Parts: sequence; C-alpha cells; structure tokens
Amino acid sequence: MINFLNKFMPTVVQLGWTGDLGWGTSIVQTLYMTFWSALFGCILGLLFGIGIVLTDTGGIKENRFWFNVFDKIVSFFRAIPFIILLAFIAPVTQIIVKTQIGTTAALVPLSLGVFPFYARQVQVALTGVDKGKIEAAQSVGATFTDLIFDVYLTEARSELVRVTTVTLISLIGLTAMAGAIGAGGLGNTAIAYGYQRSDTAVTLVATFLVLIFVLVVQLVGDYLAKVLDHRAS
Amino acid sequence: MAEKVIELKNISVFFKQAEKTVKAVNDVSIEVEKGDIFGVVGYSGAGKSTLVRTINLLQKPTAGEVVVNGKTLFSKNGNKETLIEGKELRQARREIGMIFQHFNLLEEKTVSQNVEFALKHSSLKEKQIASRAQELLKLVGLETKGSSYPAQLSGGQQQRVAIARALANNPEILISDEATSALDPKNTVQILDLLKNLNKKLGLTVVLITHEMDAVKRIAKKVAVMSSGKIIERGNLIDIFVNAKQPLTQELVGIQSQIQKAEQLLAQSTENSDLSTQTALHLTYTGNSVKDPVMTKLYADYGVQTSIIFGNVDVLRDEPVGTLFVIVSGKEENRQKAIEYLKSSGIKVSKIDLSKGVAQ
Ligand SMILES: Nc1ncnc2c1ncn2[C@@H]1O[C@H](COP(=O)(O)OP(=O)(O)O)[C@@H](O)[C@H]1O
Ligand SMILES: [Mg+2]
Repeated sequence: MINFLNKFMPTVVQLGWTGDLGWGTSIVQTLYMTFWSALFGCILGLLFGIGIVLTDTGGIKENRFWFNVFDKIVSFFRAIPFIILLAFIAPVTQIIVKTQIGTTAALVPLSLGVFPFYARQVQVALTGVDKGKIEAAQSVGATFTDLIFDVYLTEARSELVRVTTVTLISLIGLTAMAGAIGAGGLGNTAIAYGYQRSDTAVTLVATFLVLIFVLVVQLVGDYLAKVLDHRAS
Repeated sequence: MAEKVIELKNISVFFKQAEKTVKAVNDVSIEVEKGDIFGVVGYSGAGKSTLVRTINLLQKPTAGEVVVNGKTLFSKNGNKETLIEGKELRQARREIGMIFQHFNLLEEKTVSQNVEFALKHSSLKEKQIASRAQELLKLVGLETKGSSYPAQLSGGQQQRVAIARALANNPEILISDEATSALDPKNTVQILDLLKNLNKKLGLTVVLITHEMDAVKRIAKKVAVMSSGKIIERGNLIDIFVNAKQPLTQELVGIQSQIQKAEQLLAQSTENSDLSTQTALHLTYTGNSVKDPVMTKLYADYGVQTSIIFGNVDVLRDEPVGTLFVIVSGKEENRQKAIEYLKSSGIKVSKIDLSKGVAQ
C-alpha cells in the first residue's frame, strides 16, 4: 500500500500522517469540527424547531410573539451564506472561544451555520406528527413534557434521524470551508494542498476520505431511521 | 331521576376567521345521565365534534358552562370566565375517556406502552401499571398483542387499544368521536358491541358521535340530532325513529326514503282504481306491542281488505321496529273504524295522501 502510494502519489505520502499538515491531523480536525458543531448546532436547532412548532398557530403553546422571534432568527441565519458568516461572526467567536482562528474557533460559525438548517428540518419533522396523537395524549391527561418527549420527539424520531443524517452530511461540507479561518481539516487539505498546488493526487485522496465519512454517516443514519420506524408505511 | 354526569349548558363555540365567524356550535345544551349511551348524529360539519370536544376541554367554548360529574370545568357568562387549568384540567381529563376516528395511537410505542402512557401519572407503581395495562388489554380482547406495534394490528384492533387506553384511568365517561367511521362493517359491529358491553358491565356512560345512523340504531339509548351548530331534535332512540318530526331527522332515520319509495309503489298500484274506497296507511309498530293477528281481524271484524305495498323491519337496540305501507279498501266508515282499531292496538298510523301519490 505504502509502496503503491510512494510510487504513484508521492506528494500524498509527503504530507505524512502526523504533524500540522498530516492526514491523521486533518481527519481528526474534520471529525472534531463535525462532532462538536453538530452537537451544538443540533441542540440549538432542535430547540428552535420545537419552539417554532409549539408556538405556531394551532400549536400546544400557540404564541404569535415567540413564534415570530424563533422564526425570524432562524430565517436570518439561514439567509447568510456560510463563507460570509465565517467573517461576520468573528467578534462573537473571539468572545466565546477567545480566538478567531483555528479549529475550535470554527465551531462557532459552524454551529451557527448549521442550526437554522436543522431547525427548519426539525420543524418539518415535528409538524408531520398527527395532531390527533397530541389530542389523544391530552385526553388522557398528558403533561407538557409528556407531549414533547413521548409524543413529538418519539413519534418523529425516525424522521429526526433522517434529517440529522442530511444535516451531518451538509455539515461535513461546511467544515471544508472552515479552512478559510485556519481550521484545517480534509477540505482544507484538498483546497490548500491539492487544488491550489494543482496536486490532483492530494485532492483525490482528500475527497475520497470525505466521501467515506459521508457514506458512513448515510449508512448509519439510514439503518437507524429504519430500525426506529414502526409506523404504518 | 338518574344522576347527571355531563351537563353542557348553553354552549357556543365560534371560530373567528379572516372575515366571517363560523358558529360551529350555537347555544346548545345537553344533559347526559349516568349509564346512558347518548348518540349525537348529524351530517359532517354539523358541529358534533366541536360540541363534544368541549366536554374534556380539548375545545374551549366561546360561552356556556361545562359541568362533568358535578364539577364545573368551564363557565363563561358575559365577562366572567372560570376555566380549570394545569394539573386540575389534566386530572379532569383522565376521568373522561375519548376515542377517535383514526385511533390516534402512538405508533412508536407498543400496544402495552400506549396503554401504560395513559397511566404515567397515576398513583400506581411501575409493576402495577404493567399489570393494569394487561388487564385493560384483556378487557378489550387483546391480551396477546401487548408487544405488537399499532401498525401491525387491524383497524378494529387498533380501536380496541384506543379503548383500553381511554379506560386506563377508570373514567365514568367515554366519548366516541366517529370511532367506527374508518372501520369495515364487521369491525364496526364488533366495536359497537364492545361499547355496549362496557356500558352494561362497567356502567360506563358513552357519548357516541357519528354520522352513521346504523351505529346509533345499534346501541344508543338516547339521540340528539345536530345540524348547523344546533340540536334540532332529541329523544329516546325509538321515539326519534318512530316520531321523527324534523325533515332532517326523517331523512337521517331513513323514513323519508321509505315514504318516497312507498308513494311510488302506491301510485302504481292504485293507478286505475277507485280512490274513494281506498286509504293508504303508513303503519309503525315497535317491539312485541302487536300481539293480535291484525290483518285477519281487519277483514273479519271490519270488513276491510288490506294489501301490503311495502314493509321493513329495523332493529333498534335489540328491539324490532316494523314499518308497513298498506292500502285498506272497504266502506268509508269501516275504514275509519279499522284505523281506530289499529291505533288502539299500539300501532302508529298515519295516512298517506293517495291523490298526491297519483299526481306524482
Ligand atoms: N379549529 C377550527 N377552526 C375553524 N373552523 C372550525 C374548526 N373546527 C371546526 N370548524 C368548523 O366548525 C364546523 C363544525 O365542525 P365539526 O365540529 O368538526 O363538525 P362534525 O364533527 O359534525 O363533522 C365546520 O364548519 C368546521 O369547518
Ligand atoms: Mg366530526
């Protein structure tokens, strides 16, 4: 394998495994960024998605004011192109993580970039829960938290897994752009070492690795969505 | 006088929409007594669901008063409004079971979990909850299906699970909102019989909303007919069927169509005959009220001949109700006496205008 790479893709091997530019470092950076920003972004997105559905007309906590607040915030962040958000959010990043560049600094714009996307998809997933189920639960005296956890989140869980999969995949895409603020990662390797130096081999390997990530996420997501789904088709 | 378990007093529910206000329920009062099976019938859009959803406050009324088991859940007169909320509301709802047209089971929970969900806030311990759920499933004949998911069950079975869930907290009242409307005839009958059985066995008070007259016929004791947000006629099941006054009620119970059919047949059979010696009658008799061999007697004692044009027997809650359209011929005074005799033997008699029939 190494011999094969040495022979046909010497530049790929030259980047090494460890070290600032190493493949191992990039992989870890991509995983790190994807994991943490998915965690923060999805929690935020889930809260906003739930908030929108509950406060919407006919929701169990119908409230025009709060609906507008949630909805407008999501729309606002959704409207900003990610590459602009990276720069735009820098002062906030500075306050939160005390630096504007690097892998950790990228978590702030990544989370903020992915949350409105996720919030909208959560909204769609939860809206898909039949109102009748809510009413039936209310008729047996379900509490607010019962309705959220036992009805909304449980009944929509398979749909939520599906939208989480889609979100993770698009998040992996966003991490590639985070290279612009020195966050590293596979996307950065593909652009800075592959594309800009016209080194097709590096680009190919980086792309291939990203594809594997995406594939794994997709397969795991599809599998979970399927086993968690007991609804009538 | 039996105990009133549900009292809806002057209930109105208005929905404000962009320009107009929909008066879904307009100043309706009903009282349901303990152990009743109270049918509310009417065409779709009449306001039936909106009305009964005020009982457990899934729908807040615009005005009126909701009293369940003697407790006022809602009342609004002018600007003074009382409405139970929070814990109190949830507790009140647990005392009112409800089942729906589309079952509304939680599909990501097993059958047992669906029933247990209703017991989540009961005072029972975890183990007791499981055994109570099992007991309820047995009550509806699904003791072996506890670990299945709703999607693996037939519609009738799903409705049974919904009934078990609705009865989990031992409510005295069960509201059934079109619960059999999505079922095939066989399952419909089974679910209705189950409700009837629960009514008998547990003394459960049932409010049965439906647009299907057959459901009401099978199990209801009392019936209210609803149209455009109002109750236009109400009474005991048999009364409503036999003495329907409102055209809509007559249409719903099928008398309209029977009369039309009979009129056509009457017109045909009397086309070339002498109307002055004939009277067409619409006879209705219930149960075993008619013991005598009536037709024979009419001839033997009054000298009138009877020919049957059209007949039908309905079964209302196990009680047969017969309808006959006949032509009696004979002397005027004899026909008169014959009619008196029919009335005296417990038969409801109404004359049908033959000239009108012929004219058609
Ligand atoms: N939430 C609502 N908002 C506006 N209109 C409604 C609402 N619920 C019911 N309606 C209207 O009220 C009327 C009665 O509806 P409903 O009670 O569902 O009738 P039924 O159960 O007899 O078919 C209908 O005209 C319906 O469109
Ligand atoms: Mg309805």
